[in-house]
Amino acid sequence: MSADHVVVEVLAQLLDVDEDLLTSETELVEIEGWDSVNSLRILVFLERELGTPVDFEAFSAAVVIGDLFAVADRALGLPQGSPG
Amino acid sequence: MTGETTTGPTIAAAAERNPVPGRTVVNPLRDLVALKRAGLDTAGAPARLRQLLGSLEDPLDVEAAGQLLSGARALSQLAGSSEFRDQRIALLASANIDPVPNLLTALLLRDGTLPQTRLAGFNQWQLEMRQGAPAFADLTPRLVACLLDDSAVFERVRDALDLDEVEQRLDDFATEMTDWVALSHRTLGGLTVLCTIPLSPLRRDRLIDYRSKARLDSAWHRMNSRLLELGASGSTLVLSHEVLATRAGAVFAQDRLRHVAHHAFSVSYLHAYAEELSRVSRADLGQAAKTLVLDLDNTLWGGVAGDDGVAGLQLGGAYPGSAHTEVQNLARDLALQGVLLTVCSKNDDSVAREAIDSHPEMVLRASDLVAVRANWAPKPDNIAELARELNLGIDSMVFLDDSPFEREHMRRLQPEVRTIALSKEPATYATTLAASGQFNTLRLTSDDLGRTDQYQAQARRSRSAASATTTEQYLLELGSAISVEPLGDHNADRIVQLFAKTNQFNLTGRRYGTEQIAQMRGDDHAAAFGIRLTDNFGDNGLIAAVAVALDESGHWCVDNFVLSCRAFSRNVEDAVLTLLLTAARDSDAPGVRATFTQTAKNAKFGDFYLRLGFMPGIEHGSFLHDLSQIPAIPAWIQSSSEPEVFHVS
Repeated sequence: MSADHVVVEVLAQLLDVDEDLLTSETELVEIEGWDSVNSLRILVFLERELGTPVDFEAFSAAVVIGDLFAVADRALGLPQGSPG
Repeated sequence: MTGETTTGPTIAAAAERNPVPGRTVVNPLRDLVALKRAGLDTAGAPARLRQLLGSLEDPLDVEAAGQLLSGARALSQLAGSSEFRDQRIALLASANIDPVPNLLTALLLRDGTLPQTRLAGFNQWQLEMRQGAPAFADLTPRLVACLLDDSAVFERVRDALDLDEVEQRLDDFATEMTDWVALSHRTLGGLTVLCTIPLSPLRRDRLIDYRSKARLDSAWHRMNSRLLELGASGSTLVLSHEVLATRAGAVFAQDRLRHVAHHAFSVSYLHAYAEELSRVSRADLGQAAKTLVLDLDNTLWGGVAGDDGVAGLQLGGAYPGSAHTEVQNLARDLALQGVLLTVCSKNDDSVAREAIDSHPEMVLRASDLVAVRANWAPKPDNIAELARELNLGIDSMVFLDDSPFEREHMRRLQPEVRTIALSKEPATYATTLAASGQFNTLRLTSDDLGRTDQYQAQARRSRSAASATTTEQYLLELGSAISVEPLGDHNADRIVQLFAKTNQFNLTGRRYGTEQIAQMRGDDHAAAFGIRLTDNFGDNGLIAAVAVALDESGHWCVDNFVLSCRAFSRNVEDAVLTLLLTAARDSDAPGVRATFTQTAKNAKFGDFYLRLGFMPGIEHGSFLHDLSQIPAIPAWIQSSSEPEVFHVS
């Protein structure tokens, strides 16, 4: 089980970017529209989709999308680095 | 972590295999993204967009939608569609209200308005205005909205436990707001929109004795009361945080967001605020709804008249009759404020009328209804005919019907009609209709108060017209008379309303707010006039307005001319302009200039000036009359004013 696809969908929908461009290695600053205002919006939206709060510090420290996968998985109590 | 790169399709496939427990993923926005990618300037896209936006309920979805549509490309694609009207809103605040521009964009687009919204810097509401509002210099906002939280008050309190200091600060703050509003009017103009300020829990709960809590509350209410009084002026509106709180549920931001992002309000409160601003915007643009179309069975009464008989209907007395009485009482109060009431029911006409006329508990009677359509034809067709009959845009009609089938049918076939979503519970109908705010207007005028009577009189005129032998004979019998009134205290509100609300015979689309009209009174080179129409059926009130200016060469320039649709089809407009041309000639003006600017609704009047002997000018849409040959006033119109009443200097 993993929440990775939730993260990708949220990024894709809120920033209007192609899902195919979003891999776990993609750097967040490389995504068009990623800034401090939007990252907060994404955090709030993600929490709604996951149905649970996420770790704010870990979220703010994320550098690549894979870091966000880890934040989401941890929020759901899932083992991180789950395949697929 | 495996070494494999997860790509889009693999993640999606994983979603199919391993769904996350709880919510489904962001579905409502998917269609919106697809529509945006296909291009918002394709056929049918604007209507589909408005429908999609109307279906969003969760504030986060509304905000996300607004963000997706805020880009320059999306907005310029929509600007090409003639369906959208412009609106420009300046926003200032004391806390972080980043979601608001996006929320507003989504809601205004839903309502068919193309928004330009701009937000001042964080907590810059005072500084920005004191510096002359440079952030809004090129925006010329129609609405200047200021949303404050209690930190705007408390940031200047040294000791929050010293209630003497706090009371003084609250008093000073109310005075500061009065000055700020005056400054806003001078700096930006337009309509200033304030909101009362909720007191956040930590401020009150930190006081531990009840006497102090009550003292703080009392002083806080007094402050908010003074803010509300600022709404007495024509150019200021004050919204109530209590009303927004009822709609929003949660008022204040999550504590974590307060700390990390300086949010004061929850996103659902901001959503309620943006929704209220969207109604203010509609009222400002003259797009408040004007007519309520009411179903009968299970809406205005419980039961089905055709099956249960009049005596079997549930109305008055105990629930559920009380719920339906509540709807009728609300409808009557709306009518008293200028809303037109009509009935559209699937019933035999005789059955419907018998119930309306004879049920002892009916609050509304035939005399309250300007039209009753009881038949078996589809309601969307009926409503289109009603719109034609009343000469009102179909987008100014609100539809109230308990049947989900009828509501969906109306939404599909007449999406411009404002269909009110109702639950199954009749006890909620009145509250839901009132909360919809569809009729909200900036100010009531005496014409609003007499509107039902005027439309009843109009209906008598139409019926009388059907029996006249020729149109000309009928018009001669009608005894129409016009009188021209210069702008004055007693008619300024109505003249502003005419310019704001008239869409069809509105030759340039220029609208004048209260401030601009007031300025004309002191101006030697500009003037505005209202025209009153009476006939054998009664006084129609002011039904037209003209704004005229004098240019450097002495030409009179008709800046705009509007005529209410209830005065159509008898050449009143010809008579008014003939008087104006005569006045210009008598004051030795070299000529009269005018313009016609086509809008979505005025195209059929494009040849008006040509008909009266104006020649087209060099610029497209400009006209000039040299005053050598002025047409005669139509034979069926008397004028009780001499031409000299039209004067500019």
